[in-house]
Amino acid sequence: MRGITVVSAVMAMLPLACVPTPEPPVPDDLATIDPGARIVVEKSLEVVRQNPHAAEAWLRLGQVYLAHKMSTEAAASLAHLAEVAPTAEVHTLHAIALDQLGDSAARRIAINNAIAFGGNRTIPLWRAALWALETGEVDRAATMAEKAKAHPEAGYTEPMVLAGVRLAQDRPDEAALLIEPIVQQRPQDGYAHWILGRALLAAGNDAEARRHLRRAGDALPDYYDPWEDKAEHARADFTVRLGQVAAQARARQFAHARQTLQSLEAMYGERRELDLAAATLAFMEGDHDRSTRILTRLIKSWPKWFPPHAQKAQQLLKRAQSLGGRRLIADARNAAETATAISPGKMEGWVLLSRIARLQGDVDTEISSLQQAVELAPERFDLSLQYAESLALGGQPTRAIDVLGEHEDIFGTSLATSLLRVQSLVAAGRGDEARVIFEACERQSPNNPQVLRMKQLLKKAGL
Amino acid sequence: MKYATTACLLTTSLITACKQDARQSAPEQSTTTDPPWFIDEGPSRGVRFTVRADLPGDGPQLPEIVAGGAAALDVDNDGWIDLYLIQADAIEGNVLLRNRGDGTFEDVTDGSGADDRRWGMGVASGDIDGDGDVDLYITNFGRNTLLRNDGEFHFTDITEDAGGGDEGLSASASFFDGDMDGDLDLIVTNYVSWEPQRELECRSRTGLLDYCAPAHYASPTTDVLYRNDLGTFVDVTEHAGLGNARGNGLGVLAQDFTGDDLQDLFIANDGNADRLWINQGNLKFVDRAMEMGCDRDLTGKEKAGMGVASEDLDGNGDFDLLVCNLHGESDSLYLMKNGRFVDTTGRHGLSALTRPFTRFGLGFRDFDCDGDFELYEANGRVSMSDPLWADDVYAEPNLLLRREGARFVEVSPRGGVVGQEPRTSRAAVFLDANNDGRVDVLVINRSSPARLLMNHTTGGHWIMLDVRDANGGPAIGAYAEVTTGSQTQQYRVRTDGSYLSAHDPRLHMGLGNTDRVERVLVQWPDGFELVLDDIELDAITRIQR
Repeated sequence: MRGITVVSAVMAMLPLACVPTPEPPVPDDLATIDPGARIVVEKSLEVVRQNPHAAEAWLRLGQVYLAHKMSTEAAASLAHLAEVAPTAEVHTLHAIALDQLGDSAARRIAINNAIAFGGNRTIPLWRAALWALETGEVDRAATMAEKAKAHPEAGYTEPMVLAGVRLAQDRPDEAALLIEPIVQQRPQDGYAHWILGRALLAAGNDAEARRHLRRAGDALPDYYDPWEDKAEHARADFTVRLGQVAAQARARQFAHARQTLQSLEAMYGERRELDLAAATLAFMEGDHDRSTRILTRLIKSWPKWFPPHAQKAQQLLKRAQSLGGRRLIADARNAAETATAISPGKMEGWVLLSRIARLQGDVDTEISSLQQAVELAPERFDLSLQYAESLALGGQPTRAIDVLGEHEDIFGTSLATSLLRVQSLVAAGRGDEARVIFEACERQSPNNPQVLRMKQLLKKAGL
Repeated sequence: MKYATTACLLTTSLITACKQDARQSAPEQSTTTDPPWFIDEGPSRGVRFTVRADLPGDGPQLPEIVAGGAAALDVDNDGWIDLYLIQADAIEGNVLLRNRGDGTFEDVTDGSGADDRRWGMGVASGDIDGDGDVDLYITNFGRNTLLRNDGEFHFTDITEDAGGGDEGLSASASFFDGDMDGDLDLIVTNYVSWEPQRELECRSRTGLLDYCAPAHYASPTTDVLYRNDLGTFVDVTEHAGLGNARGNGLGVLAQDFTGDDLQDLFIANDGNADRLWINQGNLKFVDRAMEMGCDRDLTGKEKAGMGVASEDLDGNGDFDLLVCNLHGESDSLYLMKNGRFVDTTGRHGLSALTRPFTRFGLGFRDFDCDGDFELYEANGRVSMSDPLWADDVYAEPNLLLRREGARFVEVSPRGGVVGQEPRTSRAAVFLDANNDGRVDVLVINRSSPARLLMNHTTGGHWIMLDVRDANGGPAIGAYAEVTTGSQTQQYRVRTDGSYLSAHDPRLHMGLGNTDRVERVLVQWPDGFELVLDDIELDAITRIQR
């Protein structure tokens, strides 16, 4: 390892001009790729051609290719850079490109180069650990992950990786010890819950395991890697550019958003996503008629596409909330029902329908819609609480108490759940139990406005 | 300077290697001078079949990219395995091939009644009416079809009278006796609640129209469970507890994972958590995948579950599980340990080997009769690659993996075949087409000819048990324990697993150099047991209840 470090340092000092510079790699299909991506690829290629010895230009090119999953070209660019101006970052990005290509042998060499290069980063170490796990080299994975965890720069990623390795080593108790503090620090991190759940399951603690596994949601790891993040920021395809329109609109920079939208229309031609963005923008600017016209046209052309129906329902709901009017709310309901029928797997549709139903006083639909939403997204704290609340208000206090129990199993007890439980117990005629819980709430937060409000309600109820 | 030179050479060679990799995906790891395990003898043996997988209309449409099923079954009970191939264009119809009794096939579709001309996906096989003949259930986009085997290579579509005609976009299906009443019930996976009007515009990186992932439709659907009531299939999905469980079902198998002699169901869901329906008796099921550790593997990701396989891989007396997934996601290998599944994918070297491919059909069989399972995987993308294999942008090479200690390694030549041209493969059906005691593979390919990979390995003893029920049909669900020396290995008679496939139901065991089988215990689903201590080696033994 030391030999390679020395060598790498020597190579870094070599004058770049002495190293033959290859032509930058160009994808065969450059002319036909996503136009937005093509612009940044061509620009990056131009910069490299103008400055063939500039490491920064090659790095940018490699990042652009990585960001657009042009892995072959990314690997070739970064391999050249690793030769002429190596850094731990370059070797690591090179390894990531090779990983995308599925070449685990070359990936291993590249990440070993990154580790040997040193630098005050743990990224190469924990990446090496994850990849060693993948190739079944559990001992190597453990060594790398332990080194990463012991590094002074270690944050949440390193113990998380080591916890995963410990699980693979069938050492669940150690995995749990490593991951528990991460779960405390990052309660919204689904993958941390996932690892902890699996560790507890393996250790035989089923009930606690289930709690964490349910909170895990999609459970995709969110490892901290600023190098990869930087590369990802080079992405400039349609999806990213469309996201810019939404961001500008959210920031109420409507003129900018319109300009961006126009440039996208010029670049991509007719795309229904652009029309949808135009409808949203028009609504946000207050031009409801234009928004409605666009949505109507979209629905006519794409009757089975969820977004315009959901968008229409959302807009009508907003207007109904501000203007009132049964007609608006009935139209919103129709649109939401169509949306949920088209895509019953989209939680957003059910939430929308529940809100509309609540406005209509249709308790049954409100409850059944929220039930669907909770089933689709059990990791969402707010949804199951809302579901319990709807049950309580909808005359089903016993069911509300059950749902609250499930909610507390997963997310734990809070003042909000306790007060809702009090309310449900009262409605279920279990005043004594309600009083005990309420007194605990009062002791805990005597001046909380919700507690005070509940106190009034209990008084009214003679409790 | 020695180091420097080496390092430079290394990085230079990496550039070259990368360019090659881009055109080959994961590089083949060894030379192709090794002798082939298989030779594609489809054309010379009479298997000439291409799945068209076309729907009317412009642009890619979801069912087209997931179709391609087949069955290996003994239609006429002559001891030779016939073939049934599922077409996906609603025009040409499915194809029935009769084994001439020498491992070659002739097309007997005409007049057989088996040429179902719906838009076909997959197939399940089993004797549904206790007449000793193997019947067929065909999953379609649109109404599924139940074909009764009348004997003499004739089938009758009995769906309208006997039921089972689910109208969704169905994928894999499995016959199993879920309520232990002596007849075969049926589980059918449904993929997406889809119709042509629901098709979306998805694009490849190069901006071309491409197939969409199921998540784009956000339209998961429910699988369907049918109870066999004296030959009539009654939808008991709600009663069974499956009614509220939506998913994107693709693969299914029935297996007893809890050791209570009841068949449980594992369903691989594309992009959703997989489900393990534990049989509570009386055809009631509870999903315990999360608690038992097989809803997702250690990556935590809800992967694109497709094909499934289950054997006792570690020989510890319980059944393990393998689910294959999409390009970029490894297979998930779960070993059963103390009533729970432990993800050992990485430990067995399967992550790195499988991740570069999109796997569909798969199965563990002992192809070289060395006493150890190998793993065959049939691959093909669902979204365009870079134009790696120019004729077919979805094509990928298939894989054959063998055990080397605890780890799987790739067999050379790749896929066990010399000069394997990548194709878009879907079903992998396992059978012994010529009764030579070597497991062959039928691979169904989208838009290119199916392959009948005849096994040319040599060496190693074997036995094959043809376990039949009292009526003479395959004894699906029967359990067998084979003891050789100090080792006991368990098997179950099944035709399900892999993807859109129905397999040769005979149990094949490779024995390596072992020249004696001490004991074979067979237990039929009704509990009847038979112990045999004199099994002939290198022969097929028929055992009837």
